[in-house]
Amino acid sequence: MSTAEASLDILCEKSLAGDARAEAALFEALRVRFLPIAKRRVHADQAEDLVQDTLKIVFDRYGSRNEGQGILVWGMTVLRNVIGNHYQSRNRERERIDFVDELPRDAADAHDPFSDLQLADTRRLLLDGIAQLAERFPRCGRIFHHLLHSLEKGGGPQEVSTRTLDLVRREDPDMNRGRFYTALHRCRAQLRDVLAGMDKGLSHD
Amino acid sequence: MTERRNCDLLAAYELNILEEAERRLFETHLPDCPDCLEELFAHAPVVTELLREPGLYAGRMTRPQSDPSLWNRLAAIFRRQPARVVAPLLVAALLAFVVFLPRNEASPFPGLARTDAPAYSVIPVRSGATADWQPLWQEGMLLYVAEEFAAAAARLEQAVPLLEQAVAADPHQRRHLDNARFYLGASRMLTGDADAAVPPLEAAATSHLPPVRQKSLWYLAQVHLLQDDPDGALAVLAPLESSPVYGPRARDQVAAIRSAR
Repeated sequence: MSTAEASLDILCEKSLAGDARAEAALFEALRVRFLPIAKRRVHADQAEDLVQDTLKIVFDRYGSRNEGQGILVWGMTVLRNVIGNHYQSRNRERERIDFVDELPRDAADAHDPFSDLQLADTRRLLLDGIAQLAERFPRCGRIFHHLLHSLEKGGGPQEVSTRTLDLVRREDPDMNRGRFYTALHRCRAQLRDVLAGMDKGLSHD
Repeated sequence: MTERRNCDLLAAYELNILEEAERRLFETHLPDCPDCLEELFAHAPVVTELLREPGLYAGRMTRPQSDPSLWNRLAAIFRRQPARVVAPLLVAALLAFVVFLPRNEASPFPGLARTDAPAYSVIPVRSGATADWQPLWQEGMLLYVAEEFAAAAARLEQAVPLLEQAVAADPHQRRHLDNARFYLGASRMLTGDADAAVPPLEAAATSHLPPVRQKSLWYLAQVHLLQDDPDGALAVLAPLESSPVYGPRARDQVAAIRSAR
């Protein structure tokens, strides 16, 4: 399989094994996918720099990430942190010199419930969110339940998905792989809606 | 495959369960789909957290009373071979009648027990302290809040001996130990293991803190009722009758036990 035909995670495996061509291909593939996201949030001339910073961190640390997570999604979390740090330093600069810069018009301004949260808060919000999901959308609750249990048991992507699909088929014998992916996608959207609708305040009595 | 169908792979992609060819297909689609890219970016912390401890979140998804899987399976079998469903159900009903009903008639006390889960609220605080029992306690109580009582009990069982060592070194840690014992006892009770719930609840009932002591006594009384031991329950309820918090319900329960006799 050539580097052009391999998925990002295969490129990642090859890179970790010392394949320089795979590493270059992975670098470029991630850059192409990160850049549009960064450009929607910061000035275009800063976007390249932020993506470079992100890639530096990704390549520095991708060997130590959670093995169950794909390189692209993990890289997205790094990009979020880098952009978040950029905003923070910009805000500090604003306070210092009393100068207000304008963000690009199309900068994403929707509230992100995870933007200001530490790990414990994220976990708490997610625990509440998925409990609500299971209550409001029981089928989604069951699909996620089987999938997460299967992920907990471990194994490669095919092993995890096949195991999950077998469990889902016990309740829905007509389910095939394509329908399962679609159902999972809809349940993910439901989870996103539930999380977005939850109160951002995380006070617990 | 259409754009719409490609986007449908998003959830499976981010949870890393696609096969290599499917993954490649979705990644090829990504640079031309700003919506999918934005979705991946926005949802990345959720996915990272789900994959960090999938078992914890799987437990939170469980709602056994609303899980129709067994019912669906039975219904499917019933449609094909009704006798395979009816016959075991008849046997089970007969067994229930023979085994359980006479016992319930003979002993009303387990039915008097109030086994609602004692409340616990998670209060996120940032602490620099990292005692060895703390991660187990925190995990245990997150599982408890998620109503994963067996898993919660397993964590708390590990935390209690560590807390006993901590108390030996620093008696001020006692309140943590009492709390851990209480929720260990409650978790065991809630998994239906009344016998195993007694020792930690008895130990927590010696707490110097009245709230912990009193709630431990209350749940100890419920466990004794589950064990069909009304005398044990009455002995434990006696000191609670004067409690401003547990007094009314303790007096009601004492009256109910005496009446049932």
